[in-house]
Amino acid sequence: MHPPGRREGMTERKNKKTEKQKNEGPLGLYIHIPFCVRKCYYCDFNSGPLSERARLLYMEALQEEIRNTAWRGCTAKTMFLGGGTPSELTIVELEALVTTLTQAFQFEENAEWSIECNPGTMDRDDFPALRELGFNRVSLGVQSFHDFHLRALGRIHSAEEARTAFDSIRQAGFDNVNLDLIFALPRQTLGEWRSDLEEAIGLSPDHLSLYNLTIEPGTEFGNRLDGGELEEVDEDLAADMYELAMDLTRAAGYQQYEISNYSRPGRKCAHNLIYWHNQPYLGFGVSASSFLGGIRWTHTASMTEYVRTASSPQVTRACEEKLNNREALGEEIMLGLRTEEGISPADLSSRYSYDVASLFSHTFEALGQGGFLYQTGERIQLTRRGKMMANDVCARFL
Amino acid sequence: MVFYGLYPVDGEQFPDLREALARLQLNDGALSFETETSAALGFGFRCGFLGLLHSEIVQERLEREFNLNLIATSPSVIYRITLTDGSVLHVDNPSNWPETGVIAKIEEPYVLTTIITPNDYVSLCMELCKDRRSTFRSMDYTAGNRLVLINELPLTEILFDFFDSLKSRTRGYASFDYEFLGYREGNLVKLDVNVNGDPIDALSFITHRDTAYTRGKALVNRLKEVLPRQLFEIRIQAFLGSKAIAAERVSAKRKNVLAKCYGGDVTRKRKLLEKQKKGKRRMKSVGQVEIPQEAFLSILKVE
Repeated sequence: MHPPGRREGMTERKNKKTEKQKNEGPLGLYIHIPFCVRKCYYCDFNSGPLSERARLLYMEALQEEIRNTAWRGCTAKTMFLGGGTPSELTIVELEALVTTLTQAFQFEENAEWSIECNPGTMDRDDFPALRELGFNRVSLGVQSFHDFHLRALGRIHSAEEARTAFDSIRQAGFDNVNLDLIFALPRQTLGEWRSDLEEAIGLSPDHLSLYNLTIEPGTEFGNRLDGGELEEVDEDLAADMYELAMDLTRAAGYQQYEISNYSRPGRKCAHNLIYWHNQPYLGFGVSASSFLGGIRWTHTASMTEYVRTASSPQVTRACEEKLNNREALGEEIMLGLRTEEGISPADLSSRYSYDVASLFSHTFEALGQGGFLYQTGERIQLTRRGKMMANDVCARFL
Repeated sequence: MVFYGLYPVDGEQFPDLREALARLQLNDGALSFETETSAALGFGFRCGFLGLLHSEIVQERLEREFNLNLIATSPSVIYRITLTDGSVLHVDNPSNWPETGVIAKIEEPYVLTTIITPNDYVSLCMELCKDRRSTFRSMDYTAGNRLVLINELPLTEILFDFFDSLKSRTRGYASFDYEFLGYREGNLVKLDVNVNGDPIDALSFITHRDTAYTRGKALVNRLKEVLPRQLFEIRIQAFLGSKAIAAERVSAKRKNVLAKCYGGDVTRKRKLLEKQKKGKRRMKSVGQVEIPQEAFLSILKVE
């Protein structure tokens, strides 16, 4: 137990933070689970197989960090358990984590509780247990419905296991389920991607995350690319695949509310919207990122260092940055344009010390004439071509 | 004897370039330079060199010792142009080339070239010279298995990829030297390059009428290879006067988008985009088109 003096001090600090939060609104919480059965060849997250002991130490440290957070008592509107493979946690481990979280934060009544699941780690009894723990959204890492592509990606599950997992999730009563799929896989054909999309849509999930494969340096795929053993999909084919994804999801009633995300009405991912709307979030765990009070920081990627400092007043940070006004503006535009709402120059001008409409008047005009941006009322959004070329478009505002 | 424009890739380096040239000139009296402007490249200097080797050394020193990042325009010799009114112009920059209608006579500098090559490669060397409008003078055997090949060549013909071609044809065994002969009349024309309708003056060059078509085509093809796909389609055209003689298109880039951008990605992705943008600053923007440095070098590779 803490000596009385220290407790008081903490309460004081806590109050200050809670005070501060009022201006920023409720938080999104991200919890990073860095272990998995085997690392996928494309994965560049901080994750990998861990020994039983390391895993225990980590879960202990993670909960210590949550218990000691300076933002204890703040209100949260989302909780996202990502990884790695959070579904590799046992129900007992999850229960302990959930208890720690609910003791440390006040969750809004309809808070979104999301968990990422790997079909290869799930039994059909797991899902009702997840629901009982309070999770109300499941994101299932399907990636492909073709076993040879799954093997080529280094996934531990088969397409059949993904189908079964989806059925179990539905049977457990989850009405907010996402499927993750990847396209532009090495040697993937447009026909294969079409059948992936058709099968995914056929399952009628509430949400789809459809990602173009990104080959990052340092990953297994990155090394193979460097070694010439792997060839990236041709740009035009990847563009065709992306367009097909946009067309088929739209025809099936999904709304593309972000570059790579599609949802049924009312089923946007509240947690991810926090990132794109530049709202505050707190990340717990190794290499997790936070954004609060205009400062963004990322925890150390070293497991040892994280475990060592998790219960100290501040976890070691790999980086921390406070954006200046201009950088923050550029970032908000970059994030905002990724979403269907786009940006409102008037709204941005009211919050940043720039007249956004005149600062970028040439850019808006050129990109508008080029068919990359269009305006509806106050807001400026990406056209389809704009979405496909979002890097070039967004870079002009940085 | 050889002239070309040197421009800083980053316009802000213009004063640095001036200072660097002035410092090199202190102990290199043969180097001359004066300010010039290019519609495509902004402010730079027209520099005069003794010959090709000299020009390469100077450019190399500017980049290495003064840490400058330079774009060189197509090289030129001094042409002597007699106009219909009898006046004579000395033109060392294709941008100053007069209208065809007012030109009475064009003269260009010729050089006497000596190539010493092993026996085996002599026919390849003769072929190269012939392609470059040579007039054969003599061929003699010299020590060992070597031949001395003497030709008269227009100086402008050895500005474009002559050394490299000679070296690759003879696997590096040939040696080459030249000396100034005098001016001779030539049927020369100016070739212009447009990118999306904007003339790129730095790519204009003077060539013999007989080779204009093949060179125009080769340059346009080469540019198509080195210009990266961009937001908009790029049309590249080569012109003789107002007549387009070659054209190519670089289709618009279709997809360049980061698939994921979540909490942990934001900083990294912003920096990535900033880096992409910075990379573009190393290119010259002409209208909507960004032209990389190597595009300006491609002119030297046109046979």
